[in-house]
Amino acid sequence: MHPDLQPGSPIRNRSNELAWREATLNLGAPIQNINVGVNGGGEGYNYYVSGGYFRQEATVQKWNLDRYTFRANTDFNVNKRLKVGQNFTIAYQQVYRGMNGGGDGFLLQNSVVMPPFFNIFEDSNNPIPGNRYGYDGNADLAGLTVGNQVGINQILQNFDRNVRMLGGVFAELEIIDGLAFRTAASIDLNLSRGDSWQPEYLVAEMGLNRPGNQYADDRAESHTQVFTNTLNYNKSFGKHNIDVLTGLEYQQLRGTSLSVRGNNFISTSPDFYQVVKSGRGNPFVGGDAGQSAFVGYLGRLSYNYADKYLLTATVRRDGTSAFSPVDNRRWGTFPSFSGAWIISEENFFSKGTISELKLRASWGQLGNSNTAAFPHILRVSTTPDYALGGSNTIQAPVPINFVNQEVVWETVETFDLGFDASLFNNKVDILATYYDRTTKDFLFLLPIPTVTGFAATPVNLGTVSNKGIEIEIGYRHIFANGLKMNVSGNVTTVRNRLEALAPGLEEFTASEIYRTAIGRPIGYFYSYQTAGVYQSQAEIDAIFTGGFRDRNSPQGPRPGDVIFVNNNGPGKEGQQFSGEPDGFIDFNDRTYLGKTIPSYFYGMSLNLEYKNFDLSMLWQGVGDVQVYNEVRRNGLNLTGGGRNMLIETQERWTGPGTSNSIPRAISGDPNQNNRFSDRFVENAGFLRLRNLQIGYSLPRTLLDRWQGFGSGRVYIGGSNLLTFTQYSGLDPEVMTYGQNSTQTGAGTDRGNMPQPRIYQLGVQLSF
Amino acid sequence: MKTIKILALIIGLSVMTVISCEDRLDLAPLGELNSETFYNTIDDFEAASLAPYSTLLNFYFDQFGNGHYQGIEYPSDDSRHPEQGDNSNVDFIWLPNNGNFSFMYNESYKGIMRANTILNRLPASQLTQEQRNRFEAEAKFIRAYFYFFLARHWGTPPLITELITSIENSRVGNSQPGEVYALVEQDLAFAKANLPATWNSSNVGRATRGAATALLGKVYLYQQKYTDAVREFNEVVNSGLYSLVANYGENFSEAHQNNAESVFEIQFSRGDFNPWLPVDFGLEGNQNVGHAGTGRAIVFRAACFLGNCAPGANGQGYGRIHATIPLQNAFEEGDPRIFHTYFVEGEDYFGRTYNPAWSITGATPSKYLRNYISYPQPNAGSNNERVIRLADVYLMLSEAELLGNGNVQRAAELVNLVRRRADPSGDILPDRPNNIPQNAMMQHLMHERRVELAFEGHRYDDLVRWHNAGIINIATDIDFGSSLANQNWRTTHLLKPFPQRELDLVQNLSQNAGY
Repeated sequence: MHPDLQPGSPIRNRSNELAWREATLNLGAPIQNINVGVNGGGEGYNYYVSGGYFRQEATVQKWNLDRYTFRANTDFNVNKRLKVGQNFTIAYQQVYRGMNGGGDGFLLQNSVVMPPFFNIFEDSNNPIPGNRYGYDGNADLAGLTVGNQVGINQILQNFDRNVRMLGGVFAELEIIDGLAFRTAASIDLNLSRGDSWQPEYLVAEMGLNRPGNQYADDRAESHTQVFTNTLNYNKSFGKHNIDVLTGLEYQQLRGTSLSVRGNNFISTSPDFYQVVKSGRGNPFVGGDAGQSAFVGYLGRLSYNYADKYLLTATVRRDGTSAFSPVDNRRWGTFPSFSGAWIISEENFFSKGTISELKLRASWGQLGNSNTAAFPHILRVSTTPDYALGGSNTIQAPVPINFVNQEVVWETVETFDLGFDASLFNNKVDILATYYDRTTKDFLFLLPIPTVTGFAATPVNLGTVSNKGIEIEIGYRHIFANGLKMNVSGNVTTVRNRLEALAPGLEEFTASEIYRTAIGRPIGYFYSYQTAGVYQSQAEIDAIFTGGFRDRNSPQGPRPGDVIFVNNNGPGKEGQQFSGEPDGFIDFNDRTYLGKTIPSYFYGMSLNLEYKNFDLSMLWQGVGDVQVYNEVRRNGLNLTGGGRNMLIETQERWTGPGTSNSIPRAISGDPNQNNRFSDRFVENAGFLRLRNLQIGYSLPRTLLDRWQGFGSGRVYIGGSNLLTFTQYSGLDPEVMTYGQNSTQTGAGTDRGNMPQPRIYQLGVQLSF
Repeated sequence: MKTIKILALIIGLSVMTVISCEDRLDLAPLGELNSETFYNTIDDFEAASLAPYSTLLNFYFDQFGNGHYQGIEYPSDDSRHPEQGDNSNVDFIWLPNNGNFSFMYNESYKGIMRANTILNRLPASQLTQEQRNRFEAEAKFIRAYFYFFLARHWGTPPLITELITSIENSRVGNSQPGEVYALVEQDLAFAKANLPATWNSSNVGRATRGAATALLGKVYLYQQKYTDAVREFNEVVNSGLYSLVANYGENFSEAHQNNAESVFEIQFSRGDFNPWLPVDFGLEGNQNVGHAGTGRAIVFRAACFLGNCAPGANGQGYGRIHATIPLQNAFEEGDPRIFHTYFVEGEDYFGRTYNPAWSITGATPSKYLRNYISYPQPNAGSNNERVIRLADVYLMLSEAELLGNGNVQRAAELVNLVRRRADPSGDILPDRPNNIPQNAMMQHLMHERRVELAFEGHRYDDLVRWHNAGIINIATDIDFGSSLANQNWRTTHLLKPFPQRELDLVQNLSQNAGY
């Protein structure tokens, strides 16, 4: 063992855990939100103008956002039949930050695993003197080097700015009574610029090496043009009301970006390095571009008879530039129908206990084309290079995508049936719905064998269903003393499963975490089951006889190693698995460990008003869902040095009977105790007090004294004040980096920043 | 009236939009080439033909240290890892989820895909038959290079000779034994017949006839087709194009890249100034050109051991490779090649005195590290990797002559050429006698390959080839310099495990025996 870590070393007992945490977190990060708006109108015109300012600090150090938003919307009646209008929004946002993106947990995770005997700064009184940053965690201490991301966060300077302008005009013309034509054109323009300064630092200073400073200037411009035309006819004939709409929408997106970087600047003065070409090294130029277009046709027919019978039929035809023109794959047609019967309006319905009753049903399809664009085109990038004849680099253009011509629109088909009822003089509302949502041609980024030269490609995976019921019950009451109460609760159940795979596709396991198989939820957790920890060699010998072995543990387990369960083997005759233990613990023994989509969601809300006081609260929860706690897996990985571990590891196996859940500490992990298994899959259901607000409306007498105020209210509130969960991580509402649509990375806790607890103090005034 | 005019205008514009909308969906990816705008002209193919070569850069070094040093250099009796505990690669705890092996497997097939793309696009191009033959030959050379690697390490890897464009065709099972070798022989025969003997100065680095011939000889040697191997190697040796450089160290010096001894080397350069990114980085977004440098400088340089740190430790040297005691002992005393193989106590080490306490074995590699003048940035070395050099060809020819023809005299002659270059005096490395039994000559030859080619990525392949030819038994004859490695080695380790990811995605892919 290194001398620094021997008993008696002054370094060994240094304890800086809290210092690292405090230097990482920004506890009590304020948020400020001010909005002022004026709306009004007169003979033939309406206007709305507003201005807002929003300021936020993140709960990690060094991330500050400011945003200004201004809006102006007006419309005028040119004459009886023609109305024109305009809307315009401009928003400017700037973020000043270190290396963190705001919500990611990169810094927090780094500070958590820091050896607690490291200092953050050598001289804490003078942490950032000019361009040199003391750091005691260098390689001469215990032979360990861990990058000091907290320190690096302090010295990196990132400044992101973004201007968004959204402007449009519209005209509405009533051609004849009931027949209206509307045309609207708008443009959404986004301009952004970010600059980034990275000073030079050495291993001895930061535990990492960045030779040479660098200044980057990134600029991007993108715009979305939308052009919409609709023709609408709305007419009543006696009790018959009809509404017909046809429309066309065209949307075009195009964006480009340019990034330039200079390096090796002679001065580290911020006033100097802002010009990339002032760097002494070769500047670098990068950039990107993209474009897409959508066309949509819409037809809708609504009919209602005496507000008792309601029928709507809609058809959409959507086109996208993202797919192949062959066989109409760019186009999808999506009809839908819905109807309702308001029984309580019928003459035969006697309004007793039930005051209102509505039956409703719908069936419809909607399209989705959201996936990697142009899968049908063999795309070629010039990024890689090769150096012939001693040259620096020559472009070596390479194909960058697996060509899949077959990709078409995904269709989401929904059937639902339900009723809305009001009982006891509208004191009680009940909404109940059965729904069956089937996604056909599910768009999915499918992992493919790397023998193709690629790792994944967009496909229409197959059919996925989501079925369940939604029930919402509300109750309102005004008590004799004037207390108004409004309480409601809701439950939604979800059963998600893959019903069928498209022809030519097979069930598959992706990464070491997920599997997709018919009859199971999309992307469920899939790996080894465990049964505690081996306490003695005799226990091991009893199992490991007659050639029985664990293929992942060539030397076999030792006391203190995790017990992995043998429950399956390779199948025969086209079957993937035999379903029976086979004398080997191997990849065939992986099994269902949990799912990333909750079986049910529920919520409760309560609103109370008494005199000038009001109180509202909202509770939300989910149940029957699992999370893969990767942070815990890393934090229990006692197989090598150099990182701080979870405190639970102090309860690890150290001899027979000491632990049946945390294995022994062993260099190199010969039994692969830390392989992904049910040890790291946790129930992550929770119930959370999402919002609580208590308000006080200023009394009329007070308002009258200050002339001009229409109403006034002050309030205090909070978000995420209470959470009830079994989950051991920081936040059961896991946010992962993966894409939800592909379920890659879903439900994996990589230690992102938990949702903050927010306390609010506010004033609302109107004039 | 005014209103009506406005109305007419609005409706008119709208109708025009409806008509032209559908054409507006005919878009292509912006800022990129595609199969319609590329792979047509000679200029296109001059550029595209480099794509398969560029795979070699990542295959040898990537930012996480996959590829060469962990996958190829580690499992051998020449090098070991710096930690005191075990290492799955070094100690033959080879599992199907081994990231280094998977990386090499994936990169090989990426190179094959890039070669297959060229072969797929050539017929529809505007090129003349002669031009096509040349690009076909270059693509087939790289394809053969990777397939030979796959066949050596996985035995029956999936065989793909076309660009795959359907998912059903992507689930390819094992090839038949020998099938991949047959393709490799065909590809190299075509390459040999259609590649030029040399390239002009601005194209140096492309595969040559000599490179294809030498590689074909090596392919025969691994299959124990000694007569064929002798024929091919002789063609290289007798071509008059190659000669041993006088100074052994020049083979690893940046100032002497593509020298007279070099038959094929990977052309490294420093592309972008971010030295950490692999050359393929940012491919989708085209945002960032990765660097194309070799990681030898950082991976092979010494770091710390038990608190004793070499200059530039961690930042500029990771100390991942250490010369095993058996390798140090293998050298004859005073062998001048030691200087270019590993550092020893008291030598100058980048301005400081080399201290064996920096290393778990007391010695870290100097090969490719000497003659480096400066390290502008870690991972940014631009020194080429020598893949085939004439000394290697001499020793392979010697082996084929010895095992195929029992020609001890010729075998000794070739071994002595290599020894005399290392020690022109012959005092330290005296000539091997040419009248000894074949078995004794084989011992000399195996020794010579080991010390001449240490840390060049050949050693474990050599051991496996000799084991398969019945000349040695790895289990009993080899000291890996790690008791765990010796304890764990089984014949299973003659091949590598197929990646678990691939087994999970391809049901008719069978794992190699024992995994």
